[in-house]
Amino acid sequence: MMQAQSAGRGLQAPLFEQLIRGLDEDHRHVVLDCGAARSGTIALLSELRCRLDILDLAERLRELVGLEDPQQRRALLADCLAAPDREPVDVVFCWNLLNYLEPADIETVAEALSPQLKPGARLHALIEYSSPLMPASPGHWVPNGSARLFADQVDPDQVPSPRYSPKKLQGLMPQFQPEKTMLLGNGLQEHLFRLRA
Amino acid sequence: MFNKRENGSVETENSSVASSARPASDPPPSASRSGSAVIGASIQIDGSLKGDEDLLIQGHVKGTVELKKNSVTIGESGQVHADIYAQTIAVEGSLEGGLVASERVVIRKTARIKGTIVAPRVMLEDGARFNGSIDMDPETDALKSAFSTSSKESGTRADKPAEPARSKPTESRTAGEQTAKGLL
Repeated sequence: MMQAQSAGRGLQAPLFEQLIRGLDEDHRHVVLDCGAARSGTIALLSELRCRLDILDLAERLRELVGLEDPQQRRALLADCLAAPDREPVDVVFCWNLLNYLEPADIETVAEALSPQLKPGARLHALIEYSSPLMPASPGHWVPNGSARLFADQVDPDQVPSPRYSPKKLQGLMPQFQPEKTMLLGNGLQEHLFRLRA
Repeated sequence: MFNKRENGSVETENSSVASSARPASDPPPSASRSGSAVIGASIQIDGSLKGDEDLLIQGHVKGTVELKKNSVTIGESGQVHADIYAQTIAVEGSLEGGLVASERVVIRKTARIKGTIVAPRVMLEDGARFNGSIDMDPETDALKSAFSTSSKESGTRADKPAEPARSKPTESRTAGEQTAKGLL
């Protein structure tokens, strides 16, 4: 669970670490963070030639609660993700978002995001997998300088977690090819997807 | 740590994750600033501001602010709907627009920002609300054009920086590398 990592050494997420280390320092990168602006993310990426786009979708997710009409949900998510002038994106951080979305919403997010990405762009996600419960609202993952992730603002209330399997996610996001998946020590599953050609 | 850019260190103020020490060159909170021109809380300005001194904005400003050799601070009561060009910019209040700083932008925890930031160094205090883009590429054309001596003083919006023309040297990434063992 996320709380277990809120103190101490943080969460080692090898795929995230690998992703960050793999960013070429000689080239400009555009990173899209679906979460809120956090000091650690900015500090980590400031070491690269980087543009960071911050969506802060957790704020907008509250609007989804109680919105049952699929078309309205779809329109809201599409509006959240719309960015006609966005510079094409190399990397997407989608850390907590998918845990809090219905399957149809994940399809919408994948559809809306994929045209905004560069060929071969990657999407990094953390999925509640082993634990049947998760914080009732999305907290934040904050990386440190070594790309370890620290939990911040974890909701003490809990709700059942969707526990999306890799196969389920692949079906919901056909635009993305799973590159690597790892089960982390705290029961989260770490996913690295690559945009299909 | 991963490699740092040659020309600057990284500053953060996340108490749990990063150093809490404030670099000596950080703009102090607005309450302690002195010697700056001040736009008071009851003042409303709509238009273009230019000059050669530091500025503290506690009122309402709409338009463009160009103080390219100085610092601009949007105080906690400041409400700005403008593009700002300055050497350093600190935000404690609310802003909708673009910030272009030749040195750094500091976003305090009380800040509410919607827009674009272009600066080689950006520091954000957790708790600040931000929606938009932060371009920290020191080679970005938006930065070069805004602060080039040959550029027009009118400045341009920096929300779509072009691809940079020059690369910077590569450094070794071996320091701080960690194994992924023990997580499976």
